[in-house]
Amino acid sequence: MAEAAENELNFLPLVHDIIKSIEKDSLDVNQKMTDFRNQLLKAREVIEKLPGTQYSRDDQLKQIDILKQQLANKTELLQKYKNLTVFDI
Amino acid sequence: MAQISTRQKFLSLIEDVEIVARELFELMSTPKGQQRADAPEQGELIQLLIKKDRDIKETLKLASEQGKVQVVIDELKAEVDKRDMDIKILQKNLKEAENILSAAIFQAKEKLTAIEQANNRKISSEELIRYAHRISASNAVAAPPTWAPGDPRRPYPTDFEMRSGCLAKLSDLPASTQTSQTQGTYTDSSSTRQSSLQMSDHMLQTQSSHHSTSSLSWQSSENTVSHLASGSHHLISDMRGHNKENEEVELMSSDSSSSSSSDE
Repeated sequence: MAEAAENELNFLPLVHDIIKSIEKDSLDVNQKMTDFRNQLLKAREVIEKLPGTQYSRDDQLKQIDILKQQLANKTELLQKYKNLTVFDI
Repeated sequence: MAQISTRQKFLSLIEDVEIVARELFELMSTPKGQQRADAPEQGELIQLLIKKDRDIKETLKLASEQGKVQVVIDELKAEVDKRDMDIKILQKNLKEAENILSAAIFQAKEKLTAIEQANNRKISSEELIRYAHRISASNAVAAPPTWAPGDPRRPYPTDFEMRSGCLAKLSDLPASTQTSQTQGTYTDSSSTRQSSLQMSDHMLQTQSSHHSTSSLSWQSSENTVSHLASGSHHLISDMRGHNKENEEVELMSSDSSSSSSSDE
């Protein structure tokens, strides 16, 4: 996913092409400008799909800590009840 | 203060790239003479673009790492959800056990009360067994399994047992007239049966002959009572004076037969 995004986020080659076209007064400048704008849109779409990017790194680490704590508590709770006398229902 | 997310950082960088690139394209397409006085240098804009590109690459690395962290987070979440499910199942089982136990406790309390009651009113086992034997040996409680019409064994309670039962107590009225009325009612209801007046007369004769011999068997007294009961009301009324004595004899005879059977 990140590799796919890397291609979409690589703007410099397109900018370079457009600069060269402007310098040459080429007719395909407008087309290249449109391509550039489309790539920006695609990049925005790809970013929306990148997993985990909806949080900052610190938020993710905090989330991991909270989840680990929850998991430990719940496992301990279950273990506590499993060690009690078994109910023969 | 909450940190901005990586996605927002990306979007901000893309917007920067778009703005800088547009500025650069405008600057390059505008002739030198017509450029604004405060227009930035092309080189600066290109450097800025390169810097933004570098920032995007770094942010991509960060996003890649965050993707791996997110996998860990998802696994942890799945594990926590699994624990939640286990806890819910456990809770459900505990609730079920609680219901069963509360029902069991309720029943146990009732049994304890019954035991306490039984302890307060103790009856000797011998007496109980003797009574059980008495009511069962004469087939008064239930007919024998092999009983068939014509079998002399009685598949019904003895007269003595009927008298000591609840029904007899209910109809235990002091006036003799009421007694005769009761018997009359019984006679009316029993008149629909197969018994006939002739049969009653015959049995009355038989009964008198039995009384004269004063050696009443258990069976004969019972038959007499039953046939008397099935006889007409008038006949019974006529015989009432005579029957009072007979009842006592019957009672004694059935009692003795019961006790004798219990001794077996």
